[in-house]
Amino acid sequence: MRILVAEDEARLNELIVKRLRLEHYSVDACLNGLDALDYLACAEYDAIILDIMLPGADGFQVLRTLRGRQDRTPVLFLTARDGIDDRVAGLDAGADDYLVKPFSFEELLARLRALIRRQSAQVSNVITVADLVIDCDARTVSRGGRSVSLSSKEFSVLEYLARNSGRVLSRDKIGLHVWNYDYEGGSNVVDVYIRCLRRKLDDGFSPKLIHTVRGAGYVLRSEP
Amino acid sequence: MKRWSIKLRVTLWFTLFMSLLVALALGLLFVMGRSMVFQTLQEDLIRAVTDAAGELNSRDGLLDVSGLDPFSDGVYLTVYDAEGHPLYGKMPYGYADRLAFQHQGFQTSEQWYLYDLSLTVAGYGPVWIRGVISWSALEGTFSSLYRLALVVFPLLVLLAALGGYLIVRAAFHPIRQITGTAERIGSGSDLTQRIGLGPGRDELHRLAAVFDHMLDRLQAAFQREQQFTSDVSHELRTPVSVILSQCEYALEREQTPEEYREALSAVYDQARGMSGLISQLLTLARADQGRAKLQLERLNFSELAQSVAEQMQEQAAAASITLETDIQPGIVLCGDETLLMRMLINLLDNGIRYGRQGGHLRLALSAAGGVVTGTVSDDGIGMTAQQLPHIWERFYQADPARGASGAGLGLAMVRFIVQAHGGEISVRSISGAGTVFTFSLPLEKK
Repeated sequence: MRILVAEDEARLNELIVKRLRLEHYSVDACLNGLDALDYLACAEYDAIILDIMLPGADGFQVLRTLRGRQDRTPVLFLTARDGIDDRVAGLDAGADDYLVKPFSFEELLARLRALIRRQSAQVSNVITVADLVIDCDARTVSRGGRSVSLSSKEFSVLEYLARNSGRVLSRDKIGLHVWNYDYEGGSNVVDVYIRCLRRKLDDGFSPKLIHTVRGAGYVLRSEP
Repeated sequence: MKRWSIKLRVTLWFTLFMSLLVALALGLLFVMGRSMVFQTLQEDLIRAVTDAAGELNSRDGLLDVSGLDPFSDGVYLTVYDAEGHPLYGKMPYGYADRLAFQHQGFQTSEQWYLYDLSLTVAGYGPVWIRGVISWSALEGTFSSLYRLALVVFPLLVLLAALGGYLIVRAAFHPIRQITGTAERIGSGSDLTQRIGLGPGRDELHRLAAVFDHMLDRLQAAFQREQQFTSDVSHELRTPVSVILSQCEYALEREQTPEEYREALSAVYDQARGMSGLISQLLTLARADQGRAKLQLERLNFSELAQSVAEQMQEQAAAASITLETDIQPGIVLCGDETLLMRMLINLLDNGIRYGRQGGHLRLALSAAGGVVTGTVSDDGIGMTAQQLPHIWERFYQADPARGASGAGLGLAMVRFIVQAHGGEISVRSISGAGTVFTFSLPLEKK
């Protein structure tokens, strides 16, 4: 899952990024609203943590621009203002949730999980496709009752496929959602990861769950 | 003080110091010299008078003065009878003898200094001996010496100051050269300028040598920078011009949907290539700044290598190259999975690109002693000894015609990834016979 963090307080920004990386999210971070708009123009995110008081363009402007493009990426507002008016204005502008500073990281992470879950229309953080069970909180996977050990990026690729199970995802889309800007696009890294996942999850099991759609990409689904 | 040059400050300081020393020396000379002259004078006087006393004898009731020299060592001697009448001796010119006698006593009269001794000559009776010495005569020698010192010492100070100034000026000459060079570089940014002091072992020569060395490195860095910029713009210009011409062609007139699709997918391919180039450049730039962070985890390197090899099989087959693997199973190491994958992909991609039709490419992996060693060997076109040292450079392509799809960043990335994991990589190649890359990675990153 790829997250954008736009927060002008550098130390808090760094802290949030560190914390999110520990939770295996891919994170891009910026310190002002204009950079945030640039990032949003170039990549797709699974969620955005947006400070309201940003230099350049404030959180409301960023959000309006985003929603103006019919982009429904969940946005979590961070605000130091505690007034009801502010919360109402934020939610009315199209934010999905808000958090008042100071906040606990546990709550931030929980709200983030909830946002991502709602986005992919999942009921819980445990996703099941046929006999494949993916626990996104514990980051564990089992197939047919047998637990399978995955590397963190393998899990991220699988998680993204699972949250969009049934939808065909292009290599680029997978690349964009699993890696942050350090990822080198246009390579066959995604293909190699799919290969690794197939070896661990599909070899020796039936039915096959990871399918290649020629010319389009990959899809996770139980029916062939 | 701060506004004066160091030359002036140094010269002033030791001139002042020398002057102080000289003044002190002169003062000491004056005080000590005077007391020493006085003491010598007294001793001379006593000795002369005592010697004279020993020379006095009587013969037949008369005083015998034959052994007495009335003038010795600048001391005038006179012998008096008990009543004070001079019997024998010599008085200096202009001396008026008026003072009463004092046994063993010193007296001063005008410029004269006196010493009296009373004694009884056996067979004659009591006599006085008076010694007189010129005060001014002795003081004269002293004061002429002193005057000489007054002239010579300041001269010495002057000489020291001048000599010191010249040495300091000579020593500081290189600084002017250094300043001049820096100014010329600063005003014209001409990095070919050097101080060029030549060999020398003193501090400033060393400083100049260090500066020149730094300028060498700066110039090289700037040249690399320029080369890099021109390479990047060249690499970006090609896809951009393809995109532009595709768009122009598509917009020129009405096209069928298939033609639009074709144009769009060509644009898409080029844009993807550019995006890849930019990410690779970003990664390498981060590596240059030491900001690249590895996402380390324990991973099965054997499985990873196997998957990469299988993935590359397709590309190899398209180039009619047989890709073989010899991978020791179960090698687990601590590393960044995506980057290691990237490294293997780039090495195999390089081997396929520079392979020959019907040729072989081989990936071997084995672990021993905490180190995993891998080789990627091909029997392709190989490289010449001239090409070999450059292959790690960004944008270097041994044969540009073959690397149409790559930008020449692949091996630069490979080397960065291996080094970031604390490993090493080397290459051997024979032109026309093939190339072997050998890398080693520690199983546990230190």
